[in-house]
This record gives sequence, C-alpha cells and structure tokens, in this order.
Amino acid sequence: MQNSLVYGHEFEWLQTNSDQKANSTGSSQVATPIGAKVLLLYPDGIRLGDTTCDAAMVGGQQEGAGLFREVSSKSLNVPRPEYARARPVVVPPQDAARLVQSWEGTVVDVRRGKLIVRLRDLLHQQRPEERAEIPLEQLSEPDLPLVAPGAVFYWTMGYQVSPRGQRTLASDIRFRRDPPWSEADLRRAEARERELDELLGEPSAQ
Amino acid sequence: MTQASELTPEIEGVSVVLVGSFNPAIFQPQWFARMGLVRPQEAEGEACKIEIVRPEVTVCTVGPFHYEVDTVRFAASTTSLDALTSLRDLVVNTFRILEHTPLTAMGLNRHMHFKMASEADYHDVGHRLAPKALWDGLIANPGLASLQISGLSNGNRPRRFTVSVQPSSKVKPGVFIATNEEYKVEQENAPELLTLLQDNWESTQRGARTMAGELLARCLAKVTDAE
Repeated sequence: MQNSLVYGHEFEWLQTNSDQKANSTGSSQVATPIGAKVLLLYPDGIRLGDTTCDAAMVGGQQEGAGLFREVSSKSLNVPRPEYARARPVVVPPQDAARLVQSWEGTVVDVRRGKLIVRLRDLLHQQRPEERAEIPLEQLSEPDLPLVAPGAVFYWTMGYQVSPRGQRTLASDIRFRRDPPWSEADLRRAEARERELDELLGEPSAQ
Repeated sequence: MTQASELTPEIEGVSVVLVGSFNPAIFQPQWFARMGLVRPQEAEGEACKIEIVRPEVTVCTVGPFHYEVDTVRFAASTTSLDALTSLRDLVVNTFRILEHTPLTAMGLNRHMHFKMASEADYHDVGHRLAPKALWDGLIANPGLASLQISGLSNGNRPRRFTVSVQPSSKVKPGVFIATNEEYKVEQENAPELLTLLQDNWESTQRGARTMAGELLARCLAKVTDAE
C-alpha cells in the first residue's frame, strides 16, 4: 500500500531551496516512494488538496529519498471546510518594530545630491503636506535607479526592538515599484481619454 | 485617563487576502523580480526563502513580503515597517500584470500588539471586554483567551468588519488586536477589487489603528471611571 502523507506549511511543508532540492522537517519521518499519494494540509488541518509525490519533491534523487511524516490512510478523508475566506494570515515572527512615523513622498527634484520632496503623513491625515530634503546617500542602492521627479516612495521611522529589548531608531525609505505599462494598459488609457473627450465635448486627437 | 493617541502598537503588520482562482506556480520570487515588483536583491540569497512551489500551492518570502498562494486564495503579508504600504502596491501591481485572474473577494487586515502599562491594565482590558462575573461558579479563574466581534465598518459603504482580541504572545503584558475588513464583488471583477484596494488601503489601515487604540482607551477609561 502506498504511504499517505501530510505536510503543513508551519511544520511539515515540503521544504525546497532555490535548487528545488527537497528535504523535510519533523521527527517521525518515513521514506516516500515516487508515485505515492500526498495530502496537502494547512497546519490547522484544513485540506488543500491531493498530489502525487514526484521527482521534484524528493529532490530529484532516488525513489524513497524524500522524507515526510507518515499518517494513516484515514487522514485522506479529512473534510474540507470552507477556508477560502479573506481571513488574516499568520505572519512569520521577527524582532519587534514600533512604527513612529510614516510618510508617502513624491520626488519634486534632484539637486546637488539631494532629493527635494513633498511628504504626506500616512498616520495623521489632517496634517498638512510638508517639503523636505533627503540626501541621496540615505537611499538603498537598489532604489537609486528609480529616483526621478514624480517618483513615489514611502519613508518610515520606527524603533526596532531586539529580543533583548534593545531599541534602535530606524529610518527606511522604499521606492514604489510599478511595472511598465502593458499594451492593455495603454489601450485602456486611450479609451478613457476618448471617453473624457466626448464627455467634455472636445474632439479626440485620433 | 489614557488617550487613544497614546496607545501605539509595539509590533504591527498588515496583510491582503484575495479570493479567486490562482495558478500558484506562477508566484515565484524571480517572477516578482523580473516584473520589477521587488528589489532584485530581495529575490535571491538570504532575503529570499522558498518554502514550497507546487502547482497546488506556493509559499515564499521575498524581502519583507511573505505570501501564500493556493488555487483559490492569495495571501500576502509583511511586518516590516518600510513595507507596510508597499504591500498594497505589490498586490495591486501583481494583479495588474495578471489582469485576467478572476477575483471575487478581498480582505484587508492589520494586526497589532499593544504593550500595557501594567499587569493590572492588561487584566482590566480582558475584564471590560468579557466581564467575569458571568462565569462565577462555572470555571475557576476565568480569563479572556480570544474574543471576536463582527459588524459593519463605518463609512459610506459599510463592509463586514471583524475585530479579534487576544493576549499578546509577543509583548508582555500586552494585548493583540487584529482587524479584518472584507470586500466582495458581485461577479468576478479583478479591476474593481484592485481599485478598492488602491483607494481604501490607507483609510482602512489608519482606521484599524485608530479603532484599536480607541477600544483599549475605552477599556482603560471605564476602569478609571469606575474607581
């Protein structure tokens, strides 16, 4: 009889690294033959679906090399409750971080190694817009190619609290990354332009 | 009396959950990098963690973003302060690219851990939300383990809004508050949901924070008033 298997994303997900080689965690593990039926479960027992153990799951190694937790075949009859709700997800733990201030910024100009920016307070809507200068050296290197007038970024200040309780004031700037306009986007924009032209009674350029 | 504005979460995070029909295998870190949705460095090395990529399910962490996708549910979350708003952009832009993905519902979530000034304040919050007199003689030493209240959000278009309160597992003594605002569309309509996400993210997140602070302030204020 083929093994019936369970893994959940918190404890027994099939772990794959970037090379797609598999390994697993957990203490009670058995060899899994290629072709065995594998049951995908969330940690709370909610059934995701069935699949078949294949070479990718056992790391491209010999049959039986994959290690998963064995369960009885009865587990395959786990009912599937209604889980497809817009429910919150479990967020991986990390050091505590206390948000102090958050702005959405727009680059107005770049002059002599500084960004001239407009800032809108994201935590306090009623506060007026502010102007500021930010040295380019405060930006993360991957974001430098995005710096241009009109670019939008988020500037956050907060305390990072280590597990030992040590507080560090951190300032992070992250630029918005928008994908390039697709053909469909351009078509929609042109259609919208025509709609507005008709609404305003102005002739379309086309 | 404690003011709501004085109560600031020690830890907070946000998540977006979409319900629809998805192809999990698409959502690989390198795909996000190729589409220009994350910093290239976040899709490789230590910043990138692939837990599983299968036709049925994908679970990955790319820089500050963690996501779980199966065939009917897409969930993305972050607890990184610098990515709280970028998460919205990531989700909006992802499905602007995958524009034919059928989407039917969306949840905007925020979770917050508040540190209480004292053990007494911590217990007072529980006692105010769930008075223990009702349990006299039924169980010994009752304590609030979990409370969930659902209702409608404020605003012009009220939506299902759920608030969960629990003891914090990360801040001692502390209270954990999570909010979930649910958006539904009549028919599969990705553009409408994405517009709702784009337009409502800030107000929903700001509202969740304000509401949680106000709830705690009311709990503590009533204690003070009663004294």
